[in-house]
Amino acid sequence: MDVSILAINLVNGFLWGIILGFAAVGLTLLWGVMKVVNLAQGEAILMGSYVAIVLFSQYGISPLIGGLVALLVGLAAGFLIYWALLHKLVGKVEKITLKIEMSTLLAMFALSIALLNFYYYIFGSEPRGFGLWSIGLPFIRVLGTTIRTNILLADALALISVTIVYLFLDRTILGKSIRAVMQDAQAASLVGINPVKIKLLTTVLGIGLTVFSGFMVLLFEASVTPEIAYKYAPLGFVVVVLGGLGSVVGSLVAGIIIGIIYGLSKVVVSIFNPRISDPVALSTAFIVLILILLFKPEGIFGRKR
Amino acid sequence: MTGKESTLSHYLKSPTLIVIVFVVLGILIARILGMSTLDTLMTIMYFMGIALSLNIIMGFAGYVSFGHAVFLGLGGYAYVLLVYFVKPLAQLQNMGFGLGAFLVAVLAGLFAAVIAASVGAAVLRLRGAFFAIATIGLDFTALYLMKAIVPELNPEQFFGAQIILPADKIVEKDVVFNAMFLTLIILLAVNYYIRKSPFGVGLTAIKEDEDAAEVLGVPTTMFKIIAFTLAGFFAGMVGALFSLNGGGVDETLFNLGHSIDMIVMIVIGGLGTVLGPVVGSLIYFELYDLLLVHYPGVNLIILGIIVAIVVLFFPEGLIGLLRKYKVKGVRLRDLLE
Repeated sequence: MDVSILAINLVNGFLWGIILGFAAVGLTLLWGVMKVVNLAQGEAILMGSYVAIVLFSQYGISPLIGGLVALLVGLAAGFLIYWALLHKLVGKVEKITLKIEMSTLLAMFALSIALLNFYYYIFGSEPRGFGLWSIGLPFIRVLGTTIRTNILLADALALISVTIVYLFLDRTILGKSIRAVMQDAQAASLVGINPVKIKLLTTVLGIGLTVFSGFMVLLFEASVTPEIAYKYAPLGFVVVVLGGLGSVVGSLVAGIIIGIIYGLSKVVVSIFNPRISDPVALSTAFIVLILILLFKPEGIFGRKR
Repeated sequence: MTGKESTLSHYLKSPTLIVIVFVVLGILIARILGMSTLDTLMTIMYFMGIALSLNIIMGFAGYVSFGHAVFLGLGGYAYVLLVYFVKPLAQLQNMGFGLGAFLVAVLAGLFAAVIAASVGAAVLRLRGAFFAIATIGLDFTALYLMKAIVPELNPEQFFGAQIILPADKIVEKDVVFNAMFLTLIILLAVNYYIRKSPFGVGLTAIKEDEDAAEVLGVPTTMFKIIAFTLAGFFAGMVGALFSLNGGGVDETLFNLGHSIDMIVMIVIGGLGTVLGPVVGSLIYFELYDLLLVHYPGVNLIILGIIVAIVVLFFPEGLIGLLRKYKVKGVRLRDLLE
């Protein structure tokens, strides 16, 4: 086997994994704090991609600014989603039971149906992207392989964002109250943390970050179709479960692990049959999911429940 | 509900049963009199079939499975591959006015059931969202594996994961209708029986409080696995006949969209009842049709909004809503099941 092929696949898997990990940060926050599984995860990601695309292709606004606008749109979307859907279901509830969990699941599911078909209606199923746009050279050569600069930009942005989110949760009072609610909502309200406020903040932050990650996904993939939702949402669940609910660092690490497993299995399978390497490599991620759920359901960085 | 009372006359008093019989006869009469096209009736039966199959695990036991389409896909692929490669089965499916196709579909359903039982033994330990996510994982695993395996089986004929049945292996559509009709009747009977049986009571107990049910002596693990296996078996059969009707199979059968259909129908109709999925699928079909005709393109957007409204304001669905009322002193709760 050619060593360089292995190296290329591992590097690509690693670079993709960072994006996967960041895309799941919002998901892990929502799930960890509010027990809300965002089944509209893929659609939220697409929202960020499409905001940047529309600004770029319709108004000629630089994708860098478009990405920032995507973040703002995402925060606003989080605000709307909380008050329109989630508040009625989880807002005033102290302990989130399995039944409430199911209702939120179905509510987010309804949102995903509406949003996904909205994208199909507006944008159709053709791939859309920034065309040839890039900062500086479109490609750079690293260790004998070429990598698109947009991918490196996406990874850099993702890593910076994860660091900021981590510092926010770790150092600020608001961030600490989010973590307090995550650990024990009742105890948190006893020490004067307003749970509704924290749930609203978590939704705004969670959806905002997910929408923002759509910009990175677009940079990485070069173009998106609504179909992308079916790829990133399920992988997001894998990442969250592997990383541990509510763990930002866990999410990033799990993303990278999944990316590398993908790269590795692709190489291994292509030794036997190159044509089927991609689907088999993707299926390994889900086999990992089921194994983790069965044997270490709290994930790598999660606490035992 | 003692055993001795459950005679035929006892069952006939139940309006649930009357509605079921009415629906079955309705489909039959519409078919004989040609009141509706064959395709419309097939679609209605398909919708009702997938809703009723998921109902066994989601409605009764409260385990929401977002990846239930996996069994639809497995059944579809099992059926098509069976008649493609096994000659006697290809001949069998044309025999007995649909009985042959029904029997091959049972084989395909059994394949789905075996997967359901073995995977279920593992993933049914998970609860709530974790179970829902695990079944999505299962769906995608199966999807990607089919994409990998199928083209290898016959590289010259199979384009990607798509298999188109050659003309000599296709069954006429009115024969498929008979097989689907038979499947639907059995599925309705099984749903009704579960609702009435101690098994169904056990499943309801699991839905309400699994730990309490376990303590009270309900064999929760076994009941869940049986329910999941049955749900997988029937979804497999419906998927098989659906594929046969379409003359082949491709990977879209694994689409989460099919899971969406099933869940939406059950939620609209009412969780935990037999009538819920039946009524829900009829409403869903009408809604689907109506929205598609009048608002093409945005029909599914509207559908999503409707589902959100149902979840937020009528979480018990139509039948659940009706069950709260009394008519002439009779509580509908006792009648609608």
